[in-house]
Amino acid sequence: MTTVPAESSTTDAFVRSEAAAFATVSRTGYFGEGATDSNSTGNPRIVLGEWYGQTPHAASLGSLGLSSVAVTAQLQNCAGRYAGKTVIVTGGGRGIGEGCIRVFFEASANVVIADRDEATGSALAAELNARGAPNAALFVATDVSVVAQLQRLVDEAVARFGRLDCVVDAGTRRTRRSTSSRSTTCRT
Amino acid sequence: MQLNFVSVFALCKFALPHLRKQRGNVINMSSLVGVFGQSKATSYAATKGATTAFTKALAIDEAVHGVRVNAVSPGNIWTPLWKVCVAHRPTTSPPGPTQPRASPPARCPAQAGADADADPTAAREAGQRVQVMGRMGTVLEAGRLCLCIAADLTFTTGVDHIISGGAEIGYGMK
Repeated sequence: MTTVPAESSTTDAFVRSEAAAFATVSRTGYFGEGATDSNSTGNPRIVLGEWYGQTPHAASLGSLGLSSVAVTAQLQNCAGRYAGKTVIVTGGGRGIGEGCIRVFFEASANVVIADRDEATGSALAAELNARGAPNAALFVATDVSVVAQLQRLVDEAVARFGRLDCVVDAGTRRTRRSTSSRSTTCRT
Repeated sequence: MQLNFVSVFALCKFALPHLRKQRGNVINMSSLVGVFGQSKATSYAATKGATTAFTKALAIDEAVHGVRVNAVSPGNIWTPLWKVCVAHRPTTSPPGPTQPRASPPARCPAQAGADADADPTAAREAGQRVQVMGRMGTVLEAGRLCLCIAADLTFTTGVDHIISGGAEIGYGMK
């Protein structure tokens, strides 16, 4: 809820300003203690994205049948809630992991998309980074079943953003196997 | 087991040194299935049960370091996997009220959640009826729960958070 100062100068470049936070989709957001552009007195207050020239959202969740209106509604009140922090989401390229990535990005966090699928993961990172908040999304191709790649994932995230505040393990898979040995796999 | 649970264990191990510095938190994606099981999914249910138990045990050990560890147990969330099941339908408008049944029924390429694998429309409708809210959740709703845990629930650790639209309450047809 509060904006945490960067640890080192190398991190500063990746901590988005309050104005940059509202380059995202959320129409409203919360900024906590500490004086900011919209909060010169230091009193927590709700602020509106449009005050910062926020542009309408072009929904890319259309493939899931979520309209632009629904996406915008479901990203309400996220902006600023995790500003200056870094989160890793495994399975972040699609499904629930993608939802986490988008919400945390809306919350002004630096997001690390860890996914085995390079195409969807890098596309999501590119889409988020194109929203006027460069360097806020990082894609790391990761097969979570390979332990060494998880170590590399953490190392890359910390090297890039200088800190790590949250890990979301969404990179799992459901396997249902029928007695006829026809197996199907799906991600949950 | 390697993918679903060992990966969680290993990632926590590698991330914790950094999380302790920030007094951060971990959110492990579990599943309702880890609590009440699912047909033809014994190993999957086992990994999810393990994830929830691991979450609570780690929460105890990490409390002294200021790191919170929580789990999220989604019910039916409208994901690309679910979409595959109804890909043969001309239009999709999830999540929402039940749609008129389309024909012809196509074979569902992936059995996700519901058992009506021969009829994707029926599978989707069945998937929606599982929730008392009558629809599936969205990936963004799941994400918002994670943000809430990470950003706001600063006195919550070792908890398995259910996001299911009420799938687990009341009696179900067996």
